[in-house]
Amino acid sequence: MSKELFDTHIIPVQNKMYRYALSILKTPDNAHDVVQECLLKIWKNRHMIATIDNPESWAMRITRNQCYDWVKVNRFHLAEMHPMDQADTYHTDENLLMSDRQAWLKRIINELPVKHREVFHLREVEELSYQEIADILSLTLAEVKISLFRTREKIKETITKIDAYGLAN
Amino acid sequence: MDSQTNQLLEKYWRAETSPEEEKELKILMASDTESSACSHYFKAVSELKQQEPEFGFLNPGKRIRMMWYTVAASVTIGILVVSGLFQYNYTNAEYNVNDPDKAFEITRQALMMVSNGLNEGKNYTSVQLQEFNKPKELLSGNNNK
Repeated sequence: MSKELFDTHIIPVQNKMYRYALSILKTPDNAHDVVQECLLKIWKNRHMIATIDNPESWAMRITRNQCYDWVKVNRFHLAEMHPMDQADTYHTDENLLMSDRQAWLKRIINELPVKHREVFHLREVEELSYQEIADILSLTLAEVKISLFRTREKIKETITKIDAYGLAN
Repeated sequence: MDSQTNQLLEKYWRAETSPEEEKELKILMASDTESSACSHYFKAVSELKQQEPEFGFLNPGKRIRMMWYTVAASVTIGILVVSGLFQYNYTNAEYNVNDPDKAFEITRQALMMVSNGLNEGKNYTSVQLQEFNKPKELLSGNNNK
């Protein structure tokens, strides 16, 4: 029974878990390793899936905790690593444009405080509800709304500047 | 950009949109032909959503199931090998001789068979050699004359 619950509730969200881990750790290999560890951890506790209201939020919360545990253990190693740079893999004009857009958005996101960054990712990329975000980040609903409002305000400000002066800062 | 999109956009920046409205806005912005910073932003967000790991994840459940299959396969191969060895020893046991006299007799017969064969060869070869010596003797006889 719990095996089926694992296959139906956890396996479909593994890419979400990966993207979330990637948004925290910045390097694809580390994000992959962390998510694989999370899957193993969840598998060992699969009997709990049936008792949890929202297995997806639970899996995302485990991913978050695992990421921060990883950062704690590898903090010296992390300082030496460079963030994901995929410029070499882009060749076509469309890909170059995509790469520019990504770099531009990443620069805006990286300027945000960590909490705002996570709220942004969970809402904009993973399209989770305020309640799910609050559950994952252990925040109140109001804190999530304020965080998202401030993030969007900051992004709007940057976009207005770009449209007016063609500047990204 | 039409007024409906503008209204949604304003609501979005104020963080007052519902998930459904945000989805609608993202679709509208994706089809927007204007190359504004705003449309770039929505396109970049949708691209972030498409990020996938280079290699798939191992399903721990399947991995454990695979481990059991490996164990079952190993046990089956082990049983087959052991039974094969047992069968091989059993077949060889039919030819075992425990009585030393009987074993000596069998060995003697075998050696006799080999030596008889060798002698036959020797006799045959000596006849051929005699034939081969005939012209030699004939020639040497002529020379003596």
